[in-house]
Amino acid sequence: MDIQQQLKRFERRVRLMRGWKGFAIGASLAAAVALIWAVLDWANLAPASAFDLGLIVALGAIVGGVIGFLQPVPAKTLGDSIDRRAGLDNRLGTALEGNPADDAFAEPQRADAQAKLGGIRAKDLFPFRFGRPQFAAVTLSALVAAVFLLGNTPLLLSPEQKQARKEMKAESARVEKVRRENLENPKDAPGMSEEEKRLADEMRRLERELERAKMSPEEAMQKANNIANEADKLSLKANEDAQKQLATASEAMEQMKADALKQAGLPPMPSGMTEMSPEQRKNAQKENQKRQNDLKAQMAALEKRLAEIKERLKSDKLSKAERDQLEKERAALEAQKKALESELAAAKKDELTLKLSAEAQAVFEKMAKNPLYQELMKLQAKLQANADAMANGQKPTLTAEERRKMQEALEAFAREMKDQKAMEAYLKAMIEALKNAKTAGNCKSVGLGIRPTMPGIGGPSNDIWAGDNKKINKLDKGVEGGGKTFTTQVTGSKRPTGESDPYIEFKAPTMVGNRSSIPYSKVLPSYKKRAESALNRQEIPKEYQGHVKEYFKSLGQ
Amino acid sequence: MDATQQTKKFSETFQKVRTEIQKVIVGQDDVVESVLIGLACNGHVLLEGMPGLGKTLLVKSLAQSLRLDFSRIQFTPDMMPADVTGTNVLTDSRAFEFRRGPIFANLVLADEINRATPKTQSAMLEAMQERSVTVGGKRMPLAEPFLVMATQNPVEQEGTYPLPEAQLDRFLVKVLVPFPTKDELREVVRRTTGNELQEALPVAEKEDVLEMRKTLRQVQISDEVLNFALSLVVGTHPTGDGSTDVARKYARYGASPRGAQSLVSVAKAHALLGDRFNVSKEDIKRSLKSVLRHRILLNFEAEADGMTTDQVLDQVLASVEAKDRDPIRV
Repeated sequence: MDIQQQLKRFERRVRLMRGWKGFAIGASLAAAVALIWAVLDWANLAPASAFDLGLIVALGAIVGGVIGFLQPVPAKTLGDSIDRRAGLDNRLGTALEGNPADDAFAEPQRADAQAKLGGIRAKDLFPFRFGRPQFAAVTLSALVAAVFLLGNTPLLLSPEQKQARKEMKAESARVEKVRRENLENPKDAPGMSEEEKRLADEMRRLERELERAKMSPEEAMQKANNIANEADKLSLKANEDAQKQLATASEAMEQMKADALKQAGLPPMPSGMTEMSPEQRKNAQKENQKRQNDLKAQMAALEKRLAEIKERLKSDKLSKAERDQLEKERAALEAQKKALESELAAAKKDELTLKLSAEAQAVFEKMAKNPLYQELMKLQAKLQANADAMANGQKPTLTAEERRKMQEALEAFAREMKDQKAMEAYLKAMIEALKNAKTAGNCKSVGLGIRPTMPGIGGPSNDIWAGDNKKINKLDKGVEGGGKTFTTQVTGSKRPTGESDPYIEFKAPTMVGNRSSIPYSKVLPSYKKRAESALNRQEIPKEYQGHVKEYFKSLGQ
Repeated sequence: MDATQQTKKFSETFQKVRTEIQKVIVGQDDVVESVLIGLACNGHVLLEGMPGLGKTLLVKSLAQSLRLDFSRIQFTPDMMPADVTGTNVLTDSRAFEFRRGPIFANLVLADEINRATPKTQSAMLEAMQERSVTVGGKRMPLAEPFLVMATQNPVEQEGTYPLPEAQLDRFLVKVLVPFPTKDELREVVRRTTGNELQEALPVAEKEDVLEMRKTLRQVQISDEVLNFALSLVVGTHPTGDGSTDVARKYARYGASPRGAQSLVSVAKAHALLGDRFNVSKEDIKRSLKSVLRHRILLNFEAEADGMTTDQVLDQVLASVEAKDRDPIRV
């Protein structure tokens, strides 16, 4: 076997060992980064989870290992290293440089090196070692774990902090429940929309932060409110989309009816005429006939009068004034006649339509007797009722089970009716409306379910649908409020113009059952800062800026 | 003869001659080896040691074992160059005839060379380097093999003329001849005062020596090892890129390029003695002191600190070895 071939096994071993070393170096570097993050996490500046920290270290180790493994191993370098480690007295390094063609000693020297190399095991020369890099990796990883655990251990917390943490964790579980039941319910069809996924991600983030219980109750409430507002917006938009899609579906249905009439050789028909009973139609026909007769009688009288005027105008005895008078009258009568003629034509058309409407109605009735049509109409009505209820801020009328059945039915229809263009458009609009109805309902549920999230206030509602405001903010167990709510009336100038406008300010305890744990003096600077920031960004109208400044100034005094 | 046979013959010849010498010389293994290596490397040897340690006997035994001509020059301050090289004398036939000096031998023992004047010492220069002697404008080559083995007495420095650097550089190795141990001394006394006097027998010819030299030149040396050797040589210099801290502190002048050549040559001999076809770093390290100790000139600070060239070389070696790391660190 050639020396180069013999070196292969050593090369593999060196790669392996370099990978091992790279693994340790990568892990050490990553652990150093993770350590900084863990410290920041302890200081509550950059939240981290055990998974995040572990992932960083693992990724660093893998990347380091791969880099180490892929490092090139030149044969000469390898030879020199083997010489040192195996005590080959530079035989191998010399052999790898020698040129047999040039020197009489080169070939025997090479053979000598080869013979010496044969009995050496790669793992003896390059053994697995637990050296400084490995020690550093283990030490730093342990340090990361220690810092993270110390930063998150409840042992160092006061009883109040422990309680707050417990409440936060309970809130996390509640947010998770709301998310799972409303957005990720496997029984709910169809699958999650993009909006729902985004909302679910945000909720998961909030859950993690609550689980870690490292933020203040106020911050938790703020975040929950943001998500709730977002959910409301998404719900509103989805419901609007559902309404639009239902309107589109209605148009598609009208088109289907027009197509049916056309197929039956009938002209387009006003909807009122196709919904009459035989009695109503008979009466309508009678009325039409009567109307025509009246019109004809009016027309005859009109023509008689016109003939008289025409006759009188032929006479030379008329004065100019009389003639002008007659001419005026004739013109007015002519116009009236034209109107009567068109009215009569319309009546005659109506007569024909009434005559044909029975046939059209028969066509529609035939359509209406179709079980498919009946089913679709029911679905459309339900969807519409659901959308209307949502628009009015009421509980959705469709349950998840109903939505699932509707989805299945619509998809089945769509498969059957894919050749009919109008039906296809109708079903497509209905399916989209259904999806949006689901998104709207779910998002609304999330918004209402998550809004009371913060320790000490509200509590989990047992309803999946939290749209009923009467059921919101109810604790499973009743809690006696510790604070007192009182009302004060304050009269002040709300407008810069000086108009006096009294308003009522409700002053209530921050939390039901609990007083605020943060002293006023501590929160004031941050609120003041926020107000200044808002002023700088010109979010507050110019005329109110002075008032805001004065308000905070007075609070600080 | 193939390479394996050549190396085998080298070792055998070396060993046979050494064994013969050791019949006469008790102990002094390193000295004997250095002298033989000097012969194999076509160099000259400078021995430094007290009188009576067997230096003359060593060269004489070497000459006997190799059937080579041997001459001994006892240097004194009144010695003239012609006493070394030879001179033209007027013969009875009223013609000048060149009478060869003691330098015309295969093995020359220059005893207490530092007692001769620089003028006489310089007469040795041409002979040692050019392997020839020029007298009266006529150049006369010396016989091959030619080895000068000079001795110096480290104690009696008064009235001596230290060898100039140029001449020191011409010695392949400088060997310190140690005082024998008590056991060795007992053996020396026993052998030299008893009835049976040992004598070295001829075991090789001058052709064998020339063959050894040819073999030695074929020994392989890798860039890695050569760089190591050169780092050591450069490391003895007080200035320059490869200079070491100890050299900067204690050396006035470092080893010459001839020092690098000698280092590799001696290392090649060690490689052959180790049954190898290539030079190793160990060979270089083993040769380091004997080859470079007389090529480094120390400064006043070294003298003040009591540093010897061997100590400086030890530190140079340590410094170079510290930088000479395994290229694969796993």
